[in-house]
Amino acid sequence: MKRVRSVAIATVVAAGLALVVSACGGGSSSGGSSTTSSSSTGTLSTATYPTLNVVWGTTDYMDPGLSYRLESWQLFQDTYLGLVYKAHVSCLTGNCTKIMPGLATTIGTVTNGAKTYKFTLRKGLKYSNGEPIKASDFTHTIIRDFNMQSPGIGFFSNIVGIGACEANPTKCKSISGIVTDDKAGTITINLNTPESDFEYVLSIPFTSVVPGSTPNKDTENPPPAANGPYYIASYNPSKSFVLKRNPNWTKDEIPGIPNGNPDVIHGTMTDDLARAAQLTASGQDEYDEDVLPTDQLPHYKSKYPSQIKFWTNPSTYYFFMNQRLKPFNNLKVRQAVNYAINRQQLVNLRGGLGIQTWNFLPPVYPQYKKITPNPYPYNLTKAKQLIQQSGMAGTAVKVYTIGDVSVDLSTAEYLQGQLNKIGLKATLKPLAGANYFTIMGNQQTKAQIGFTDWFEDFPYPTDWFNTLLNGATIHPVHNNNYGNVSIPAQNKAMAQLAALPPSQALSPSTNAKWAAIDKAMSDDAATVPYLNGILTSFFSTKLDVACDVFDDNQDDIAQFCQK
Amino acid sequence: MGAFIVRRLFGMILVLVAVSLIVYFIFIVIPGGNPAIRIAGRTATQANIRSIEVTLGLNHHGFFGFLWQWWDMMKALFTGSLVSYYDGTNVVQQIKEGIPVTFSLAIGAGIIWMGFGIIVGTISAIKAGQVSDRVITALALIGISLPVAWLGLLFRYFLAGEKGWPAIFPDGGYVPLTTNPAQWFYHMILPWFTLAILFIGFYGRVLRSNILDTINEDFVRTAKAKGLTSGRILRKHVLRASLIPIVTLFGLDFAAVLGGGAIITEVVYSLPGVGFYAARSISQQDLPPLMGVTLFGAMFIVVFTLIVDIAYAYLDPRIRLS
Amino acid sequence: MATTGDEFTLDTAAELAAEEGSAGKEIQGRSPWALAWRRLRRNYVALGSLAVFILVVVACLCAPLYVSHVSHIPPNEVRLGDSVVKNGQKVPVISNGHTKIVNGVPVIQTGGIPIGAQYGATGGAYFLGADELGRDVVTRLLYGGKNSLFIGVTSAAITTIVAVILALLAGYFGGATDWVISRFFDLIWAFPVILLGIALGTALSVNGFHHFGINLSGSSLWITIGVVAFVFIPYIGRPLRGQILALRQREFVEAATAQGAGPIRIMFTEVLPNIASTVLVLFTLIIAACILTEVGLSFLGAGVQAPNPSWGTMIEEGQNQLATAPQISLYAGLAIAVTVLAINIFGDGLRDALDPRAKVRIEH
Repeated sequence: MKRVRSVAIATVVAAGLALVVSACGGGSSSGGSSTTSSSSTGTLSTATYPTLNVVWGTTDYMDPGLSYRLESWQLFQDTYLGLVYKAHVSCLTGNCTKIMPGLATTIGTVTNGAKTYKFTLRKGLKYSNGEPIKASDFTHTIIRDFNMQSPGIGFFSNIVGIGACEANPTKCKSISGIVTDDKAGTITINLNTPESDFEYVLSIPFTSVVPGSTPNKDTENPPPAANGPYYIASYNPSKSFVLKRNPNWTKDEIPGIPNGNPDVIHGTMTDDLARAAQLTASGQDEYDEDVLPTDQLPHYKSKYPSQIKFWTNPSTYYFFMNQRLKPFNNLKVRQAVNYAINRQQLVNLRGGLGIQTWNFLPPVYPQYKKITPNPYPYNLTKAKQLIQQSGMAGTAVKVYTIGDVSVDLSTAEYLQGQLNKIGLKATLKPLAGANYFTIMGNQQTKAQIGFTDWFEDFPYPTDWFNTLLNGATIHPVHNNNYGNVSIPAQNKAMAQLAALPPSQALSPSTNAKWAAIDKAMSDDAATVPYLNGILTSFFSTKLDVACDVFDDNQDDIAQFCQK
Repeated sequence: MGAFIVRRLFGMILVLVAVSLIVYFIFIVIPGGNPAIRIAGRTATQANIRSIEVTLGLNHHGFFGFLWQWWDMMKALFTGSLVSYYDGTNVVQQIKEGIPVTFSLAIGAGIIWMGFGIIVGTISAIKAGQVSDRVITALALIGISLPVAWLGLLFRYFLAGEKGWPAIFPDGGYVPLTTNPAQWFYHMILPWFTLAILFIGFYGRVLRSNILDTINEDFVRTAKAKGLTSGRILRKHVLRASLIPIVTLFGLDFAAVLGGGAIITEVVYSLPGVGFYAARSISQQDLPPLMGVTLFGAMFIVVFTLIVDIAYAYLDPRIRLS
Repeated sequence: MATTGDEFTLDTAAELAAEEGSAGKEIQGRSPWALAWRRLRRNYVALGSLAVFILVVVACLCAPLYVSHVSHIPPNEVRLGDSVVKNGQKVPVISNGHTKIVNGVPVIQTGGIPIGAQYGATGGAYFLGADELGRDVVTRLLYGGKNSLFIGVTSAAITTIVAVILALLAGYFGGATDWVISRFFDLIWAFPVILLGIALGTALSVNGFHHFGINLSGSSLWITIGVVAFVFIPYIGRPLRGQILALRQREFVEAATAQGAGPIRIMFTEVLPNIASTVLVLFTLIIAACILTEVGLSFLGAGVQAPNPSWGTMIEEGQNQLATAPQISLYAGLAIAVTVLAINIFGDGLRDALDPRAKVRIEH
């Protein structure tokens, strides 16, 4: 997903991927990593308190079937649960990507050559509106996603009988591959081919089960009835939200999901980073989900050192280059751009919040192998030479970016400046953040080069290569492969690796093969990766920072405790 | 008189219709994607986009198609069912929620600029030609020369803690009157003055010149001859006569502020009013809220202009016949 | 020598004056323009303001000279990695920051702060500091001023010319022409100024204007000029129309018509000279409004587009850097305030000299 203010992106799980992951585990901090300034092992406080005030970024939707923003997903982890969920533990001290049984009693019985998953619902579960949770609600949730043309419907393309729904989503009425029995409480899902990341698919909000009575349209006034420890009592888009305890949540009814410390959570939403930080510094709010404004970072760091936490999220910021258009169809030009970027300067633009990289995969992945030496050290002269040799000097280039996020705009201005220095004729095309990724994903835009980023949906390289750099997943609209990267040998390698059986999914040789794809992309100068992102969490003096649990991509606000 | 009003009303409705057509036309010109694509999300297929287009009525083409879409949008607006392209929220609802904020800003600023404007104008008129008059004139001129955005940032920088000095006022944001009147007032002070300063200068000068003109009128000379004191003349005769044009000016300016003049102030101080909503919608190229906000603003301006016109026609029969 | 009875003519007066000897001088009639010029000449404050304004304009026009002789930093070139020599030490223009992972914890060294005002310590570069991309603030102020002033003056000129033409047509011909033009004025007038400006500015900046044989890219200054000019047409057109309507009834116009002069001729020879002073005053005062409107539009993102500088975009760019690099926003706003103030004072003086009764309503 994208975490930029206005838009997020779905991953497209291409049909034919066949990688089964039973539990992403193994060594320390695989997958989503996080850091805590004080390591929090041992028991966390479960002392309850009446109110928690938070300030939050704005988001796209508050409907689990539609939203694709971190801002919403951070709330959904305690309100809308699916059959399974990713553990709510700190990534540093535990396995935060471990799949745990949620509404289901187990993480699924997998049979039929990893093509059939069977779940049994826990007994006696109810939604916040009092309705009992039924097995058929799961099917209704998926059908509802199709009816609303949710950005998540791409995840379901491997389910048997999904064809009619994919062809005509608004008219989707049934999915033959999902069989449920309300009396026995069982849900059986049949896939066409094995799929490694299917358990993860069942852990993301698009499959969080909502009542069958939920209308088949964007429901946020109020949002749909919840099945987690909290429910969203009210949501005022871009203004505010309120979470209250779910009256029908029995204590510890799902092991591993916290019962929640605050009774009520009041959220103020704003995109004004300076204001958000100031509200928290003044104590009016207790937690700032927004990133701290980079220009005031030194001030906040020196004044509130113990109240700020920095996180490395599995994310990469990069420039895409469209290989179907001049001049980026030429390898020398793409290499030149890589030589022309001084990654340190781009880190400076973000106030220092970033770690330079020239790999595509983020460093926390076991499949990551740092490409040494740096294949494209900053060298303007070399870049100019390459442009000259390519014969593309003087080509007009439009650099696209998000205009209303100042640091994204500055980043693109920097790129434009460098492209001009090496002999291209670059102009800037800033667009509103709300439309940006949709427009980039439309081939008709003919965007040559532009700003983009990627935050993992789940910790496996299929979420990166097969989604973003795969020739088999190039689409005319809603394309994720902005560069239209298609290297036949690598396409084949990606598909093969995705089709490995689970026992080999994380073996050293598999990891090495993924790293080889990473290197091949760098050799092809397919993109210009420049940094891995750092996010911040800012707490007021009221909260005990030691309680903070950063699981996979976000703080779990249900576990916040007061001093 | 009645015919005059009817004619003006008719003209007013025509103007509003034309305004809405123009807004719609302007945004058809905006490229950068079919709104249907934006709503469909990232994994939607071509078929999905088409079905959304039908739902939104965007599948009509050509000149009559354009009119048809516009009519659909107008209908939705007036029945309160118009929703944003971007986040599906109800436009009329969002405007309603922004109204208290914008009204708080406009009314508070209006009271300040009228109050100070009258004081400033009267003093500089009484002391016409003297140093204090010159000083006030200079300050007034400075007031109308300041860009609102810069003034707002200056206040925030020096008075609201941006410089690192202790904050005397909060750095933007809005607290509803019903939640906490004291905080509401405290948060509004800087925005009020930011908006009012340029008007104070202008109104002061207009009032000053009106008073000076009026003082030369016959009826004032008569009053003086009758033996009335200057103070009494000023209060009972001159001020009243000079204020009439001011009040009408105020009506028009107030309408302009409600109609979008507050947008920069709201953006600088993050006040979630109608102007802020408009600014956000514009950067998102979101047509329905823009249509709603523009018509809302145009309506105020047109209605106030109409009231002013009627008032003048009532006072000056010549205008009725024009 | 006129000795026809008791008639007292100007010649007589002149003779009388001549008879009085050197104490008397011939009284010369002066045109209203000459009288106005005399009044203006005595208004030192107004003249001083005019001088300030001209100074600002000249300074901005000399922007390329400033770059080549003083700062040696082009206005739009991003210079993140630059450094300057100060007191013999090399100081980066943008402070360096980075993140290191120590025991799994990110340790941040904050950076990205633009260098502050150097006041000549570095030999002319970054006199008032740098902006967030390492560009020299003074250089951008000068180039931005060029853009803002160009937009302000040109749009004022265009709107004045268009408004005069429309007002002449409406005021002179009356009837249906007047009705249509008045409704046109009403329409623009009813449109909230800023919203109309933003709407047009945003719509046109995305892809430019490519109709009627004119091809403008989205970042062309002419788009902003057109938008600002369009928005102010009724502010000049309506008062003028009123004045022309009144003039139309006057005898000299009737006389000219009786003499057989055509409407165009009458408009240019009889009406126009009489409204000239009002037009001049309105033009001067509307320059201020146009500049402020451009600033507002650019601030909201619907005016001058990045990376071209204008005073309005600089205020917006500096918003996020207010705490650590206030020089970006503050000086741009100061420049605007000084320039607009100068125009306002001069415009006031001009109005007092020419036509003390011209009243202009300008919205901000």
